[in-house]
Amino acid sequence: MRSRAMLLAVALAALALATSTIPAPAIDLADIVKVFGIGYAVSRFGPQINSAINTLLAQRGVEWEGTTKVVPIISIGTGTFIGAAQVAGPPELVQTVKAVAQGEIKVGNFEGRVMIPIGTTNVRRGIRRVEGVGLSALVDLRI
Amino acid sequence: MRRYYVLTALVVAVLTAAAGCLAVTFSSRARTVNGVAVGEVTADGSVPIQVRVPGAGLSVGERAAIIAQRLNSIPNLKPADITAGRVRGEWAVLARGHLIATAESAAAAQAGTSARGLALSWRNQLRAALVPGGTVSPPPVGGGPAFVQTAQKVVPILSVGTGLRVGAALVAGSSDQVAKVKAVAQVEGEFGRTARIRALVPVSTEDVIRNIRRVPGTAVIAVGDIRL
Repeated sequence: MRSRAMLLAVALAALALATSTIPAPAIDLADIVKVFGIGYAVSRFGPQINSAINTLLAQRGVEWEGTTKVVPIISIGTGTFIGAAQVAGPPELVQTVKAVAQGEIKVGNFEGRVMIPIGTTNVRRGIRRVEGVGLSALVDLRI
Repeated sequence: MRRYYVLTALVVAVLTAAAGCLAVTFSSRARTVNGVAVGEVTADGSVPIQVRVPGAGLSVGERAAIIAQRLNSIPNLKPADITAGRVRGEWAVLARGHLIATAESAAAAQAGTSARGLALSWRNQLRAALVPGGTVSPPPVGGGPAFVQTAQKVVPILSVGTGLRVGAALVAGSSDQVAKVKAVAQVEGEFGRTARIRALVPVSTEDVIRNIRRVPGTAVIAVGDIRL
């Protein structure tokens, strides 16, 4: 009986040792989006994407004067997360932006998608624009 | 021989006078605007930098004087010489790599921006002041944000890589700034293998391959197409 318990303990220790040495697979944005969804992926990778966009613009000499942030895009119609966008503006206003609400717009011959920076991720409770914050980049996620 | 000496002296005098006319001289003054003490750095009637926060035992007027003195100490300054960067961990505006003014957090907060934003704003204002005929408007002081008339405009989206029209954008901002917007430059990039980045920059020219110049105070609010 004692030898069995000893054997089990040794086996468990060996398993723990073996699994601890297996290198963790690199988890990238695509995996996170597939498993956890766009909302979580943006919260996880948002700062890195934001930095990548700012670097891209700085290389062209057209960086934003102010604070920038990457937030999810939410469809006004369905309330689902459909992408990501970078918003820019004064720091105290950008801090309050939680998402960009996307809806349809038609102005004369122009038809497109209006992007509204908002302070909530629940568009069903109503949409209140965060004034003074603009859209600076779109992030298309290929899944 | 004597004639040559006179001619040479005349040419030198003319060149010196011309250089004096072209060079921008910075000066400073201390004012009180809406009850707020402000140190201003001036250049040929424009005000590229306003100092609103005293520091290091210096008043705002004294700080403005030092900034003007530093700018004047560098000969033949050109707009491209003015840059923004970090000096000892703090954002600052520099001229040919020499420190001109530090954008402290307190000053940035008062201006409603970040330290980086303030440094970039000063850089742009100084660059404009160094352009002959360039205009610089001083930022509002005290009293909160000023009333601004806004406007919207539909312009083409131009790919920076190819110059092709890839859509249309609705831009918004103050009326005078929106009037300057001719297109939206689309700067493309990748983040890993999953995310495609499309940065949208309102610009004042349709020649986005050679020259991208952002129109400040404007932003894209909608993207789409023009129905024909």
